[in-house]
Amino acid sequence: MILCMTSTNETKLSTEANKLEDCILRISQNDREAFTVLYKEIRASVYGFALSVLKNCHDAEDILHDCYLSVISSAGSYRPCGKPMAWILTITRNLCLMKLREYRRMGELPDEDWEKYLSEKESVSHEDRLIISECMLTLSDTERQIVVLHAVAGFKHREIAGILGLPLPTVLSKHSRALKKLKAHLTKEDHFVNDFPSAHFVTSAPPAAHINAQSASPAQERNDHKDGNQESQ
Amino acid sequence: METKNLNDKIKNAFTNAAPDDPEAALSLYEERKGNYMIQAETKKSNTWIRKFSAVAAVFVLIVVGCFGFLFYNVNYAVDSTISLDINPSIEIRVNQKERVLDVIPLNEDGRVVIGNMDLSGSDLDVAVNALIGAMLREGYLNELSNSILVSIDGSNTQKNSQLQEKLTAEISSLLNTGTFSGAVLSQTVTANDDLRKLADTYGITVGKAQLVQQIMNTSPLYTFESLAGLSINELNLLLESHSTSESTVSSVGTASDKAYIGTDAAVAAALTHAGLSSSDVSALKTELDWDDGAMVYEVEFVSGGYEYEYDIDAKTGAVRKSEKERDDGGSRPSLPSDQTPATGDYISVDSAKEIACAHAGVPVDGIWDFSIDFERDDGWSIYEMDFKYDGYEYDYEINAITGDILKSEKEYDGSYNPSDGQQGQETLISEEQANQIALDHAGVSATDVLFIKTELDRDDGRSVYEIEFRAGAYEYEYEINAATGDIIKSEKERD
Repeated sequence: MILCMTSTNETKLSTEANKLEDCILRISQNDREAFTVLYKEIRASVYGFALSVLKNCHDAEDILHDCYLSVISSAGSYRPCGKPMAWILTITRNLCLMKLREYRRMGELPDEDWEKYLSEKESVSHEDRLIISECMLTLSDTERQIVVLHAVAGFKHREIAGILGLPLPTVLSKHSRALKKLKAHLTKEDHFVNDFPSAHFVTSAPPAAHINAQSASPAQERNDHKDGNQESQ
Repeated sequence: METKNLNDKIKNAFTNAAPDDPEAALSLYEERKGNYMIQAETKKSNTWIRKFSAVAAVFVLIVVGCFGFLFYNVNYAVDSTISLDINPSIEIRVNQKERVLDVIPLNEDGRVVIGNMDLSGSDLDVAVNALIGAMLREGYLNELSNSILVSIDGSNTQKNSQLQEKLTAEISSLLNTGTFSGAVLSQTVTANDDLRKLADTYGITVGKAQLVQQIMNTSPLYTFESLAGLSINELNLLLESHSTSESTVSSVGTASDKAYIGTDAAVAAALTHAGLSSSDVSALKTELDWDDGAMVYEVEFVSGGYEYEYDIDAKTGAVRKSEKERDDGGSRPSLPSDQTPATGDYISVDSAKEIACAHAGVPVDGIWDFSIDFERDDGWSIYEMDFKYDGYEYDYEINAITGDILKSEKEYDGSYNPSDGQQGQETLISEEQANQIALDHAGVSATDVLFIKTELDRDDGRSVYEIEFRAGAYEYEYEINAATGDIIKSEKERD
C-alpha cells in the first residue's frame, strides 16, 4: 500500500517525464503514433538548443532530424531513469559538437543564417523574432544555451549544469546575468524596433559572434569527451 | 518585465521557430533505415499457425544451420576489413575469398565517393579500382593532396601483410596518373578498445586513429584532438618530417607539399624578416610542423653570434613566430648526429614546467607569458621554455625524457605582470563613456544607432571595451582602452 502511494506521488511529480519515457518505450516497439507524440514534445527544446549552439537554422534542422533518428535507433537501449529529456538533450549536444568539429575540420564556421531564416518563416511573430535575435546577439554562447535549456526545455539549473558540464554556481550566476541583460535590452529595444521595423533583420549578424563561436568550441569539446567517457562506463 | 513572462516568451519564440513536420522526419527515417518500422498490425495472426510455423522454422533452422555454417564462414563472414582514408573514409568488408561483402561510407565525403555504386559481391580488386577511380573523379586525390591511407584489419597476420602489400602496389599504380603520382601509406591495424573509442569519439576510422597516435609519439605537444582533424596528406607530411625508426606505417611515394609555399620560400621569408641573406647564416634547418592550428615551417639558423628561430605559415608565408637569442655556443653537449632521437615516454608538459619553476625558485602558477616548444635534434628530445616572473625573463631547456635541465637562463627585463599592476590602481571608464567615445569618433549621434553591443574584455593584460554598432548603411567596430579611453582600433564597413 505504501509502495503504491509513493509511486503515485512520483507519477504526479513527473508526468511529463513519464509520458516521454512511455513514448520512447513504444518507439522501441515500432509505434508510429508514439513517435508523433515525441516529435511534438521535444522539437522546440532540441531545435532551440541546437540553434543556440550553432546559430544556423539549417544546421539546427539537420540536428533535429538526426536527433530523432538517434532516439529511434537507440530507443531500445534506453533505460528509464526519470530523465528522458536530459538524455535527448545530451544526444543533441553531442550531435552539435560533431557538427562544429566537422566545420572546424573544413576550416570554416557555420553561416549565421538565423536572421534571414526567421524573417521568412510565417509562424514566427514579430515579437518572437525580436526575442530570438536578442538571445542571439546580446548573450554569450553559454548564456544563451542556459537560457534556452531553462525556458524552452524547462530544465532545473542542476540539470543544466549536468548537460553542459559546468559547475552549478556558474550556471546560476550566468543565468541570472543573462536574464538581466535580456530584460534590459528588450525594454530598451522596444522603441528601436518601432522606429525601424525591418532594419533589424535584413542585415547579417555582427562578426564578433563568430569569434565567440570559435573560442567557445574547444572548451565545449573537452566537456564532450568527459560526457562520452561517462556514458561508455 | 517578469522573469516568468520572459521565459514564456522565449519558449514561445523557439517553439514557433522550430520545424513542425513529424511526417517528414518519419519518412526521412524510413528512407534511410528501410523497413525498420514494421506496422504493428501485421503481427496479428492465429495462434496455432504461429505455433506451427515456429516449430517448422526451428526445424528448418537446424537443417540449414548444419549445412550452412561452413558455407557461411567462407562466403558471408567478415574476414578482413580494409579502410581507405583521404578525407573520404570508406570501409570495405571482405570474406575469406576476398569478395566484397559490404562497402560502408564512414563520412559524408565517403558517401559522395560511393554514390550509387553497388560493389557487394565483386572482387576486392575491382571494388578498390572503382573506389579510387571515383576518388580521382571527385577530386579528392589531386596534385595538392595525393596521400591515401590503407589500413587492414583482420585476424590472420600473414594474410594481412599480403593484402597490405597487394593493395599498396595496386593503388600506387592507379595513382600514377599523368599529372601527379600518389603517396600510399599502409598499415595493419592492431586495434584495441582505447583506439576504437578514440576513433568513435572523433568520427574517424580506427586506421586513421592509429596513424594519429603514431605521429603523436614524435612530439608530446601534439594532441589527438588537434591531429584528428588533419587530412591524410597533412599527416603524411608530418610523418615524413618527423621520420622515426619505430614507425609501423609503411610509405610509398612522397606526400604532396604543393599546397604550401615550400622550404625555400619559407627560408627566404625568415631571412627577409631577420634582414639577412643566405650567405650570412649557418646551421640552417627547416621542418614542417603542425602548430596552433596551422601547418608551419620551422626555420632555424645561426648568424652573427645569434640563434634565430622562425615559424612560417606554410600556406601564406607569414611569419607566425620569430625568436632571436644570443648563441651561447652549445650549452648542451652534442651527441653524434647520426643517432636517432629517442621517442616514447616523454615527461608531460606540466612536469617540465614544474622542473623549470622549481629550479628557478618561482611559483608555477605565478609565471606569465609562458611558452613551450618541443624539439628533437642531435639525438636529443628537448622542451624549450620561456616564461617571465617578477621582472626577469627565464629560458629553459629540459631533456624531455629524463627531465634533466640542459640550459637555464635568467635575464632582467624589468617587466611586471600586467594583470597585477592594473587591478588595484586602475579605474576604468564606464560603458557609456566608452560608447560615447566610439560614437564621437564615428561622427554618429546616439539616436541614429540601430544596435549597439559593448563588451569589456581583458586582452594581453589590458582592459578593453569592444564595441560594435550599426548606423545607416555601415557597421562599426571599436576597441577602446578601458583605462585611458584611447581608441585602439576602429573599423567602418559597408553592411
